[in-house]
Amino acid sequence: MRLIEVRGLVKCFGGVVALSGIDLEASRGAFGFVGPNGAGKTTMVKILLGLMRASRGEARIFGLDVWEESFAIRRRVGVLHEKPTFPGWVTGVEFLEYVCKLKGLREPRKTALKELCFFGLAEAAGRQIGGYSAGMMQRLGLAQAFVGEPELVFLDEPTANLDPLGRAEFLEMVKERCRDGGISVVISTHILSELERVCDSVAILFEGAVLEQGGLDELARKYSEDLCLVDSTDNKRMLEGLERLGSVEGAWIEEEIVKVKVRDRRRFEKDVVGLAHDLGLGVRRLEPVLSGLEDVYKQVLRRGGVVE
Amino acid sequence: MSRFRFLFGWEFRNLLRFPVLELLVGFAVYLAVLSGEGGTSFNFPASIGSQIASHIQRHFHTKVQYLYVPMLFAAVVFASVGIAREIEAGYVKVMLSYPMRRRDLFLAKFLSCFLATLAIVGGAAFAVMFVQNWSVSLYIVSFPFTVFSVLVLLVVQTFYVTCVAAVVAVLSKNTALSFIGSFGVLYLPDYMSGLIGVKVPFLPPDSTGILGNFLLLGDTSAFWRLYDLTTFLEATVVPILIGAVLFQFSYVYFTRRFDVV
Repeated sequence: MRLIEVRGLVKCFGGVVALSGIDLEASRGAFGFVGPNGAGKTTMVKILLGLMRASRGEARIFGLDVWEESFAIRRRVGVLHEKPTFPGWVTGVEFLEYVCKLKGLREPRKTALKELCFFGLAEAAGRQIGGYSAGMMQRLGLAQAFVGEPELVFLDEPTANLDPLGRAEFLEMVKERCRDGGISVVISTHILSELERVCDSVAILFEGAVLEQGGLDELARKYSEDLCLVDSTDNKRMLEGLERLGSVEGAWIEEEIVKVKVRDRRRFEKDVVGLAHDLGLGVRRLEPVLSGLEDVYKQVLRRGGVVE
Repeated sequence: MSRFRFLFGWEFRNLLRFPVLELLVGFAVYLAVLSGEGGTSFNFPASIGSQIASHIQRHFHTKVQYLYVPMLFAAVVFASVGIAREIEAGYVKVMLSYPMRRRDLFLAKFLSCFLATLAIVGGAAFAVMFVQNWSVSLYIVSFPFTVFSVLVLLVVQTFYVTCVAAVVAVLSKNTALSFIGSFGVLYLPDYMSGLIGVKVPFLPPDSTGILGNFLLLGDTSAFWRLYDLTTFLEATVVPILIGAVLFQFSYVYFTRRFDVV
């Protein structure tokens, strides 16, 4: 069974279309929503949590309808909202104990303290939340999201208020928790490097539509077809030979390896094998240059006609 | 049920962050000092009925109408702080992300607003009845029906005021708008009655005279007669009906139509 299944999801606010017929699927693991501000990421998360009702379409988590069976879903998920607001008049441990009770956990006080310790808030457990810094607030947000080992955790713009060091530390905590607890996670962000560090698959959203989705490796391969690496026993001679091939648009040496911009990759691979044979060279490496998520993102937006 | 009780306890505790006790003392002082006539003409063993009517007329009915001040103020403030502000600040979004039914959250919020308002109104009523002139209280408590009737009226009218404040809070989702809007809606019947020439004396705050008049219907000579049933029904049934409709509306909106932003 898929973890998340969305079919033809539409959400309108008056005359504004926030989501326009979204289809997507996510399996267990770490899944990311990426897109610029206003792409519909937060709206998507809210609909999946049953906080908003979709105008049309269907969305399911664990096979359960996100609106009609929202209560059953929320028993199995944790959430860290964008800019979370927690009651400032209670202490961290009191608040987390309250969350534990709502989730029906045994030994709520003990569980709350254990969770606060894991996220580095042991010393601040007895302090009122109103006095917490932004970083501490975010840690508390993680603690309340992960308490009780939910099957799935939503993190909406989780590092928005953190400095670079805080972000790295935050992501490490998420990764550790997911790895140890076998917890799936859905991250919504516009910071691509975060998704790259944590996620297995992503969906790229723009103006309420999914432009692309898939595994990070799959997308990297898909959007890397026009750039290849060739490492042979004599790269200078290989470069001269490659520049004469019709399947090659351009070639150059970078860090002692030949990089080639190709016109037709299938034809290119055959041509390289033939060329190496003709020149009497051995080929050590022949592989596409895998794009990073940022390259994929730019190419997706470019192909979608969103940017030039 | 235990989940609801737990949730209600949290919400009520949350509302008590507001200086309820200070408000209570403030209103009690206001009612006891500003609206009172001092002293008593206790003259035992004169006719008890005559004494009661006289004391109630002199002390109780002149003050009881001021109970609408804390009633309106408390209900509007609690609904604005407990519902509208929590939606606006994002607490409701966080709360509804936990395993919590919208129905339970709404009922817990409504009930805590209602009971906190009632606590203030009850405290102020206590001040009216017992604080300023203790000898009057001796008479009043001798006739529990009088106290009971007044309390029924207060509960019903508090329910109506809370329903109005809750529906405005849920729809506005904004603290300031909820505060101003609730007063606007509460004073609308009074304003409209001025325009169309039909009085609605049984809805707060225009019903300020009801409690006093209700108590005065049994005059000195005929205190033991039945209280005016029509007045009593108007002042209880109508607010209950209107309040129930508004409550139903806000409940359905919050549980079925409300998009958490």
